[in-house]
Amino acid sequence: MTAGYALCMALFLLGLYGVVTKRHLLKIAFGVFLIAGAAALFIALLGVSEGHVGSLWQALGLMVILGGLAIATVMIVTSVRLHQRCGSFDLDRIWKLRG
Amino acid sequence: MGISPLLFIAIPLGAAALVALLSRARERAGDVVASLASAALLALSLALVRRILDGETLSYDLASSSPLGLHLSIDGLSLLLLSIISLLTLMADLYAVSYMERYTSKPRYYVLRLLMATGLNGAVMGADLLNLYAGMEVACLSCYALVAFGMERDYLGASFRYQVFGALASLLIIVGIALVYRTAATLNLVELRGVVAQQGMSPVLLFSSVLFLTGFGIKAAYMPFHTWLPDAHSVAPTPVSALLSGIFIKVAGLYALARLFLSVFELTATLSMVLMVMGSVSLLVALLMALAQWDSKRLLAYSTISQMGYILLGLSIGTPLGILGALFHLVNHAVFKSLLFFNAGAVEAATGTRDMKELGGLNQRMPLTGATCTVASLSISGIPPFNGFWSKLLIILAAVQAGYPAFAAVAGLGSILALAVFLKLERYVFFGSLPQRLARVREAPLLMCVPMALLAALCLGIGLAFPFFIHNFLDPAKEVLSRLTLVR
Repeated sequence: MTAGYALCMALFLLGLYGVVTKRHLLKIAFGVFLIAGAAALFIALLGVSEGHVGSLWQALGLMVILGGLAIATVMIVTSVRLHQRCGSFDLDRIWKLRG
Repeated sequence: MGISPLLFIAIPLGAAALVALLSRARERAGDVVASLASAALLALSLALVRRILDGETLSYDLASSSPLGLHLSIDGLSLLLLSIISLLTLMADLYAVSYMERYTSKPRYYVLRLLMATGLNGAVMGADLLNLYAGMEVACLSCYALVAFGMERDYLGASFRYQVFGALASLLIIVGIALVYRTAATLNLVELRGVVAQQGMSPVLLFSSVLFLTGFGIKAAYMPFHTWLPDAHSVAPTPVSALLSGIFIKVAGLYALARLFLSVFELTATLSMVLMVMGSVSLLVALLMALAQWDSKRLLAYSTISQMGYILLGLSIGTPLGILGALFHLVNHAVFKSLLFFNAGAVEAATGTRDMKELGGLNQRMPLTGATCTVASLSISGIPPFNGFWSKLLIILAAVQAGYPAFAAVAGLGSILALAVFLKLERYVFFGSLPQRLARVREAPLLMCVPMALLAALCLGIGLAFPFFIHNFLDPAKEVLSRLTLVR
């Protein structure tokens, strides 16, 4: 159980590191997916810790997985479109917008 | 007369499907269907006002035994927000009929817009945290797509930034919800209030309230979580900007904060102070940043952050007067900020630029846009008799009454700065000399003028008839929130 929570924390920190430090669109998106994974794992662990996994826990788990899937799709599509427009995945090069 | 809360979800969802189906045969079907759906929702919510005033709460349970049961309820606060959502979407739909011509595939805009309304309505009617979250997610996902609607670099870049922030916020919130469920064994807002009142705030609940504060704080764009907003709100197509600033961030962020911290968790003195400081910082700093902008829609986006600061300040004072002022300002801001975005969009559509340095003297060429923009500017700066004056006054009075003269002074100073910001907008866009290049500019088309005129009339109307408005719409909403606020 403790190992599970440690894994959760590790995934979260790794994801946060990716989101904060990387400038490559897909790497940032991947960071978000890692955090979504950490959240799903955390909810699963919390549910299991209750003994029997009730229906609302299943709903919560389903919600975070579906939400993660949806945002993953949207982020990848946006990144690919940006790549088509600007020929680059690099945020700095794309972000010649106003700060 | 039976009005089921389910209608508020079924109508926009059905309309979205209908637009998607009809758009192949008839390109213009979306214009009619979307506006009709919004008008129907507005009529429904107005029809409910009397029943809510009588103290009734409408509720609806679908499949309460299955894991994904749908629990909806409409009380005073939900009804207030439902009415504003319907009103603003109706205005935005009318505006979009001519404005969205510049974008390809207009029907898709309507489909996404209707899905956004479905999500927002679902969120404000959600009787438990899971339904609230699900509605908010639906609305957010359609919003990401709406911000990226232009499909050019600016749109996609702003949307990507928004997606990163939005996704992180959603994950923080769902983890918070899981922690609440683990501790309290219920997600129903009313039951949760009972549990919290009985057991007090345990450390786990405190931790989850920090998660909620951050998550919903990002969605509501409070400083220091605001960085996604100026891009997203300024590049989005104008009807979308108006909806985003007018209602979206309020429902996705502020509404949930208000529900949770005022009527479920206890608003402790520390929490109240944290929220007040967050509100005041957003209020002042965002105005200073707005003052430095030359892009008209970006200026409005920063001003949105500061107006959200006012609302949070009023709510977190926690007294009935403060809550009333905050809710009043929420409505007023929805009205005048969407009007200002419509004005900026009309100017952009006519002149092809949002850069205020290239504009000027447009009062001569676009009298209606100029006049309505003046009304909205006076409103947002808190000049009597327009609606913004009364709500700001209430918030300042509440701060003084509760013994926070410093926060009252901040709110007053904010009003003066707002006046400076909007004088700048007026001066550089509508007054001064008309550049040669703009000599042949024409007034916006009729369908763009109608919503602007209606919203301007509403600014004045609410300002003049504020006792009527407070009694019918705001008091029931205030009751919901002040039922369990702190006793000082």
